[in-house]
Amino acid sequence: MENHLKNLRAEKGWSQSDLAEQLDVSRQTVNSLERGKYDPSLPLAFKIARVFALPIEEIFVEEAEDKK
Amino acid sequence: MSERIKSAGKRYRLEFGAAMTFYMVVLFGAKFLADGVEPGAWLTTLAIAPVVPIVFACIAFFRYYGSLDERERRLMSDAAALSLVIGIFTALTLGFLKSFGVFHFEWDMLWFGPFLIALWGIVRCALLLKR
Repeated sequence: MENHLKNLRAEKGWSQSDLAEQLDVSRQTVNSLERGKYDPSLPLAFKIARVFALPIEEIFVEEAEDKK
Repeated sequence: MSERIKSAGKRYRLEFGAAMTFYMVVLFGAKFLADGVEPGAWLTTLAIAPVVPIVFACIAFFRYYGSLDERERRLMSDAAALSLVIGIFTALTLGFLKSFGVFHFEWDMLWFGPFLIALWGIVRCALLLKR
């Protein structure tokens, strides 16, 4: 699943480690999320949304929308 | 990496290392004490004594596993499932080769556990590279 995590993180001026610390995950997990290699669970997706103060759908791109 | 995961990793290495050191001590101690002992309750106790430190190592691992994030847990469990399948196929293949008389070897179940653990480590690395 595609997402805007990398851009959102860059806008905040955070490193992957900074974001990992806030999400309580490893830096490698943040990297996998950003590259779309790993789809987060619903609780983690909500946590990400909370950290960026954005709705989930503004961070993650739906698969169908992705193919358009 | 989150500080909590980092400290969990440190604790795991410490606990696992201590369990393995305990294992070596118990293993060689039990082997030494079992020398010349007749089969019976005492020999049985000595024979299964090395399993106790392994239980400690397992507890250390599962504490660590519980402290990992969801992606790492997923990776570990996927690798465990794949390793189990490969392990079963390996055991079946060797079993058939032996029963059909293609080649002969001594069964040593003691090595099946370490084989599965090594296989799990290799599969985990492969999955890490793939993802």
